[in-house]
Amino acid sequence: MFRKKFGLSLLAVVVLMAFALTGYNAGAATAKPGEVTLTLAARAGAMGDALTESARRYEEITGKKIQVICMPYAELKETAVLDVRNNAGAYDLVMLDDPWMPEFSQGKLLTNLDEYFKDGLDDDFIENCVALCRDPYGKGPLFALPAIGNVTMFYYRHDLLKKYNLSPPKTWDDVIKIAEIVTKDEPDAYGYVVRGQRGNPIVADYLPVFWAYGGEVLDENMKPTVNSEAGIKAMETYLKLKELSPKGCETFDSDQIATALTQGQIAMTIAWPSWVSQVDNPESSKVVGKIEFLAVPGQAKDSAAMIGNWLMGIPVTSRNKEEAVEFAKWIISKETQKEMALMGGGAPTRKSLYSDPDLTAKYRHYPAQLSALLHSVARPRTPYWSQIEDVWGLYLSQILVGQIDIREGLDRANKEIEKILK
Amino acid sequence: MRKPDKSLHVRAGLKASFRYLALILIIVWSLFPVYWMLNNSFKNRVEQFSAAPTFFPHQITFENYRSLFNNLGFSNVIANSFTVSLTSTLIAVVIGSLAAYSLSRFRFRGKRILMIWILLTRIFPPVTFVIPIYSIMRNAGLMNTRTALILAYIAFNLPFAIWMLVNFFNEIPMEIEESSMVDGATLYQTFSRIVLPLVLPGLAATAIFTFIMSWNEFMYAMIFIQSPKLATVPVALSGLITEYLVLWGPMSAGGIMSVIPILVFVVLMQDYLIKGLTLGAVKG
Amino acid sequence: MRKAERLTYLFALPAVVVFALLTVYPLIYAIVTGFYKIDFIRARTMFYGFQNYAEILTDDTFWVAVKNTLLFVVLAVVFETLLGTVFALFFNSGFRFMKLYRTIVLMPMLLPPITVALTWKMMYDYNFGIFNFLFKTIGLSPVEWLSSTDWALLSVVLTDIWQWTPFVFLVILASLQSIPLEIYESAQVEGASYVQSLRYITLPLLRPALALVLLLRTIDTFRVFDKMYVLTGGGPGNATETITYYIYRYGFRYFQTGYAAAASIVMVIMVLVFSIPYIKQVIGTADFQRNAN
Repeated sequence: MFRKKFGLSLLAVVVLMAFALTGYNAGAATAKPGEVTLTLAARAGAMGDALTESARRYEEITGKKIQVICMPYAELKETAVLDVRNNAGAYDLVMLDDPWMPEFSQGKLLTNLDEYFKDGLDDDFIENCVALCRDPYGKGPLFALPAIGNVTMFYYRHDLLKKYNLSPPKTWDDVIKIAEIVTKDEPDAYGYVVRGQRGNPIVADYLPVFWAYGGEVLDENMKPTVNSEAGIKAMETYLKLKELSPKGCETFDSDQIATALTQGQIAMTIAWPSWVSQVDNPESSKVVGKIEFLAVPGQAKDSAAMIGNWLMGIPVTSRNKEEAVEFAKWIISKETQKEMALMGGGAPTRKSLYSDPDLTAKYRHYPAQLSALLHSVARPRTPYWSQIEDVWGLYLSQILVGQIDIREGLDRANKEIEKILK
Repeated sequence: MRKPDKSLHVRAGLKASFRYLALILIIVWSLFPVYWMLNNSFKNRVEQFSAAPTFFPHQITFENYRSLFNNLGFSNVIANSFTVSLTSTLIAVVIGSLAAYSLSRFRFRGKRILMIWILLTRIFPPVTFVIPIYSIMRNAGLMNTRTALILAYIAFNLPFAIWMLVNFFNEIPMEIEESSMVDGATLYQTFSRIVLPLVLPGLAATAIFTFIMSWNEFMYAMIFIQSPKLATVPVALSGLITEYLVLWGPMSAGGIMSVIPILVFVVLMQDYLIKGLTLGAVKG
Repeated sequence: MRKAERLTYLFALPAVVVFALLTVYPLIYAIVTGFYKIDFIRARTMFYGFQNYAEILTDDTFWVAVKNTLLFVVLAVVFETLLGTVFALFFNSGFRFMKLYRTIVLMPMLLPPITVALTWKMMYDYNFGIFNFLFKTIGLSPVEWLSSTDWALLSVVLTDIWQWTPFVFLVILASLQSIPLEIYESAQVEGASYVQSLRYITLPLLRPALALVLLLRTIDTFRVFDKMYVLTGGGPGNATETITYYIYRYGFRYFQTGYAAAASIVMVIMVLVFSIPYIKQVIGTADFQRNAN
């Protein structure tokens, strides 16, 4: 009696488990034999939306199936790495932030695309963008394709500058002067805002200042020099900028910068071009039409805008490489890039599109953006960049909040980066 | 009992009003952030960040909810979460209560090791297990299936369920089972008819926690599932943290929509908490 | 009895099978990789002995993370347990609309953690947040909730307390409800005050449940990650760097998985040391039952 009942309930559990194991898989990809579905991993946001929309059009044109999966920044990298290292082959295409390139290509995660592009990419592509796709930088084989040509730009409120009779800044000294006046005289407004959150945000925000003072992260022997005189001067300037920023900026990331900018709280900041659509949208902004754009100011050196492209790579484990290349080619074609840019999905990587009348009519900042791209600087090309950025960002943040002083903080950052590179 | 006088009335009144004051404080503490989320879910971005925060949306908008259901397919997402959470909860509670009963009542070889092992799997930060579990799922051909998530959640909730339930079983005096066994009931009958009803409040509480944890788990759901058709609630919501902006409106709306199904589950389970109360009296 | 013993194993069998399938390999994997230097992206592995451990234990940032984690655990667990128990006692005394109130108290725990963290981030905002607005309205000076090194960790703790007090509440309530009413009645007959019956009846009977709650909350607060990740990114400076955040950085940002595994083992040992009293209490009750028999 007992056995029977117990056996029954055990059986029930087993059946339930078996049900769970098999029954629920109906929703998984049920591709018919012979039909290929390409899977693309992308960054969630405007870019992901535009890629999804483009993929739908590609399906209409070619009858092929494309699945776009959008995820947050950190998870995109994790998923891509895990997929290839476990030989899972779930993704046929992956969007990559350009600083990941050396890490990914030297880890042999990406397919060498030279055989599919025997003559390289055509001349319309901006050289600085194509260089990012090659490893070693600019010279090696092609491991990815330049999909979105982002570069940092300098945003300023031309109405405020006009009000106080100031001309747009050319150097960081000018920036500080203007910011001091605005902070002092304009009610409820600050002259500047730094993006001070620890890690990637503060590094991306500080780098243009660092470069402007002539700083270099790694010298030609791949030795770190973040504690150089230039680094110290840049940090002094950066701390002054922080004093002229809204309170709370020590944990600001892009969202808080966008809020400060669109709520009319600040006069100047460094930001990405994709924000322009937010700034000029009355649904989300109080400063429609009041913002102008410049290349990032220089100081000891010329302006140094930071390039931050999104590249499209094909994991070595993809089982549909031919089809993936076909799709990627279509994505970076002039027509598709234009459509994606019109959708607000990101900046083109082709020169000709920056003078396209439809696009310049919609995006008044395009001339400034092209010049920023042409004069842009890439972040150091090392497979250890993620780690360097994280450690450096920790010390920069500690300096920013006054946990340690500038020299000690930069010295320790330099020492740790040296250790990473060993 | 002394005869009631006036001062006693005043004291009783004072006590009652103190109780209600405390009640209000507890409700405000628990609900204010929820209210704030609800409030934001009906605002546009400009109003969400106005210099003087508004306690009610001045320009009420349903756009956040619309984009949640139209662009994210949130109804499908909720259905996915429901399937995964309910299945894993059910299995974890069944398996867990069997194991907990055995651990609570009997001394057998390896018991302590088993208990520590169970606890260990709970102590490790989930990040540590991502790579090995990924390779298990991959080798079992379970990538991109709900099964992978269900299995993972069973494994992660079991330690918790077992330790919780052991505790509740321990509170039940053994004499009850012994008298039942003397009456000729088998071990399994004793377990299912006498003991299990007594731990109903514990079972309900365990089921509630297991369900919530499965519902809200993010890391594994993100990594094991590729197809957007299979995405769960936290994964879908994470898509609202975009490159440059957090889409606060849809995010708040998503939080509100996500809480409704759990709320239903919890309210249903609460009945067992109450039943347990009346049955618990048997125990004395 | 022998038959019963076999049945015991049978009862535990499904759980053991699940554990064997899904936790044995990961646990062994974690222990083994802790002895290797691994560059996961470039698939390079090198035996490293105890070198990972030596590097972790001499890393200043790790010790900052330990300090922050301990502070977090102690504050969060103490306040969650206190508040949760008080709430449970309060509602156990019986109320009209009890079910409604109980659901309200549970609300914070039901919401998705990402949304919770983001909503709090919004409320903490220095310039646009509701807290500073209320502070200013009543004449207090605004607080840098997330951006000052003095406040950041406390703000994260407050969010955790808000979210997880319901957990304690529910366990304690379930436990309170299985205390027979007759015990209280006889105490009342003997003239015991509320405080006396709380001190001499309720709390002793709650001991196992309290031990359980302390154990589970200690374990879970040690693993806290998502709140730091969303609210502060581990900053400002190293103010909210916790052990799991540290492990995450090494494991998933740098993909030095060996180092991360070693760090998580160090953490597991710390948690075990921290929770031995409760573990003994929870296992101990079971043995007591057995012996009393």
